[in-house]
Amino acid sequence: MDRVLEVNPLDRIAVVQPGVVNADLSRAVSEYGLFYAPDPSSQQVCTIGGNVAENAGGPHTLKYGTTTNHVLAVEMVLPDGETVRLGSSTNFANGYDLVGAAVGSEGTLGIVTEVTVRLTPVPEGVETLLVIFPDIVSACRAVGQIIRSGLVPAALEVIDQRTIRAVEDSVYAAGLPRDAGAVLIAELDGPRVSLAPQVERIGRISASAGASEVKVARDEEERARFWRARKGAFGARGRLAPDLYVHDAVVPRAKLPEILAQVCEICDRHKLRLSNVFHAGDGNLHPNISFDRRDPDELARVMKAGEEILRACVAVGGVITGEHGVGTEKREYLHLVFGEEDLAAMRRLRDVFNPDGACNPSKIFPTTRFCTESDPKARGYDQVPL
Amino acid sequence: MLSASRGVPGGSPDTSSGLPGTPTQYHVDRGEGVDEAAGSLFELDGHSLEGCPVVCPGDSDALGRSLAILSNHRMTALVRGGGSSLGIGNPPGPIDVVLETRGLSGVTDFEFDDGVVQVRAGTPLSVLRQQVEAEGWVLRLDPSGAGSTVGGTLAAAAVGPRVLGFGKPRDCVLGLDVVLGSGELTSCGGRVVKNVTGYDMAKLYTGSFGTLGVIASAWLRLAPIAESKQILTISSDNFENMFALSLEASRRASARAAALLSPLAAQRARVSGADAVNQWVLVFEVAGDEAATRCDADWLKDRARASGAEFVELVELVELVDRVELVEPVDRVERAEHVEPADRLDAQPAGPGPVFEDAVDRVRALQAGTLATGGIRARLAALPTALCSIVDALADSCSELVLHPGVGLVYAFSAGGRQAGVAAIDACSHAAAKAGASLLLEALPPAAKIGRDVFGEFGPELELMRGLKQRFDPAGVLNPRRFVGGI
Repeated sequence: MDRVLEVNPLDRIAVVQPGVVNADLSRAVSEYGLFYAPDPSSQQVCTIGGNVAENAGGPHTLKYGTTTNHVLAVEMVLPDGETVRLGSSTNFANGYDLVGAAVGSEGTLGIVTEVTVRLTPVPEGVETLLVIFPDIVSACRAVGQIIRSGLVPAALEVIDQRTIRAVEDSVYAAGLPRDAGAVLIAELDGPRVSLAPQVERIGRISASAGASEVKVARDEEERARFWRARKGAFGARGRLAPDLYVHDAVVPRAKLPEILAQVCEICDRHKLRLSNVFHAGDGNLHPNISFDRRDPDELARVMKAGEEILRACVAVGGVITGEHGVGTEKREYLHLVFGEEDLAAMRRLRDVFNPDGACNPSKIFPTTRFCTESDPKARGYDQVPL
Repeated sequence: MLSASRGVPGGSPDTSSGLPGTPTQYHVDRGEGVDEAAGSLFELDGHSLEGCPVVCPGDSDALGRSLAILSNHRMTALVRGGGSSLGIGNPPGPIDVVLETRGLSGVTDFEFDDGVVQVRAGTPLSVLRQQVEAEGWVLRLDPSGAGSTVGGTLAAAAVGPRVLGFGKPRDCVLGLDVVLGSGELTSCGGRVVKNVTGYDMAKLYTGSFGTLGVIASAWLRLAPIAESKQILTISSDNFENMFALSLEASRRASARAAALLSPLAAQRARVSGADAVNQWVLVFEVAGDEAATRCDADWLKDRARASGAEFVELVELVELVDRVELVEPVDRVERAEHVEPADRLDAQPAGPGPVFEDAVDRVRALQAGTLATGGIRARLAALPTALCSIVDALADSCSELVLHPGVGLVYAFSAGGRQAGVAAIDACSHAAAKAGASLLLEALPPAAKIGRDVFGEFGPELELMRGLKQRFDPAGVLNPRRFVGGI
């Protein structure tokens, strides 16, 4: 099921099968001056069906929203084999918002077999900035100030020094300064008349937050180079260690400086190799811990640190996952965010669609009944094969 | 009009006994000095509510206790916020109490650096709007009913002319506290702008018309206040040209509202010029940075001239807010000084005082009403390219139309009357079916609702909806029979 079934450029919608690759959809509609806005970093391989299941985001979520803001309707096969249509291509379906409930349900309600998506016009102009900071906290402070100023950039991505150096040592090398504490990639798009003033404002805000340099991409090649550094970051970490534990917590943007300091302290205390590359504009952290699973002591420290990071993020008003989903890996941490009544309500939704648990029965919901049993070690997490 | 008393009418259980902090109870009585806002409580779709106890919980816990009692005693409740969307829905089943949310009022948390706010459901939008605008943010809710509350707006997924720029209510909801029909207090979502922790339950509750649970409070994402705003109004007697222009205008980067009114609708909304016979009128609002709004406003002026459309000279206040940025090495960037609420275009003071309205406000007010008592108001939602055929189909039966081409909405109005009303409803139904549109009969006289589902026809997904109702409100407490399929 990997075909684009219909493209309607006048109404700016498309109907696709779930196996269509995210980036391929944008390529298919580009001749009409349109694109599909949700752009996960894996967009060259991830599929629309997977995007629907996870309510996928990406670097440009800040301006364009996540998958749920771009899915108008789905055809779904329920666990009992019945096919239903949820939502409407008109975007104003009457009744309960079942398509809204289905997006992000991680395959636990049924299997999506067709998706009607909203298409977005390609912006008239784009400006991409690379801003150099002495440390990651000042970069995050700048992000908070940009948000507070009323600007709505298309993307705000932060990369820390460890990641920069890993990237520059890899095939993804982009010419980033190795001695930078952190870099901020800020992208603005929209009417060309709006961009220059916004570039100037970001420059001033960044300088006030401590930036040492602001580079504006001179051409498409340079813009691609800035983004190559960001998008190659995960692959580049393969140089640091054979394994990588990627967290996906989200915190209020104003809490970024505080929480980044805590995350660094946690990993330092556990003697772990932490690197950060994340969607700062959404407050969506990706603390990445490089390790070797063959070292049981390091593995145990990684799991312990991971739980502390999640607890710290929740303590400042955050949540445990912004785009990767709960799956099986984070289901035991759901109790950090929700109480039993909250989870019971979610189970009621699931039970309407999937009463026998046929679809992805191990996903999302904790296996424990009591929140005091959320200790991963008690669940044998340190023994879980990765 | 509302007389405070303890207990309930004879023969019913005393729902106030033994509960600390029992919500104040009133009864709905006709009397002198009738509160207009409460007038709609007296009856609903022919169902009398006189003598019906009114329960007004002061907090979420009291709301939970109230619903638990109602659920245990198999009693039913009509949930009321500001009442602006109360008329939308199928005729209710028997109602035992009216559950008011106005006691759940106030902002509980405002992260003004982040642009998110937590607010109790009974808070009037006008009050919330003032508070957030004072910090340089705007509320992304623009419903068409006066006196709307946060909870009511979300429950009804109510939209107004600025749905083009703001999106639908579901798009600004980050998290909700909801008390289910069984009385349990639950939370979903959170205060962050990106979140896939568990199911997106907020999508389920938003637009559920209070049939799964009562929204107690909400985390909302705000939008930055616009640097600049302009409203332009143009008219022409050539509908095809005006529609094409309206659709193109709605796709400009800074477009926040683009409403195309039929001649009579434009006259009633007072957005027409002096010689307004047969003139379709486009009310176009741009908001954003100064460069983009000027560019889009100039674009419309050039296109309008080229197409022969006329500019309508209205007494209009054009608002320009100079954004002054104080860039200092601190964590917070100071926002521009705001204009006092009384001088702002779209701020409505909470108390008595002058209310400034602009053309978009007048369109909004028009969309909330009907042509006459017993009049009909229908909302059709279609793909934008299908709207012209809908206009053709409704021309004879609906005397006024308001189109929002950018989002595919048509509001159709008929004065009603026995034959004319039936003709209008039938025309809307046929037009919707032919165009593949969704139809919501927002305002109908009670007699016209009998034997009809104002939310239209559904397929097998209706059984999923019934399943949800059965699990979230097993005793059928909330707004009985008002929703789709008689849910």
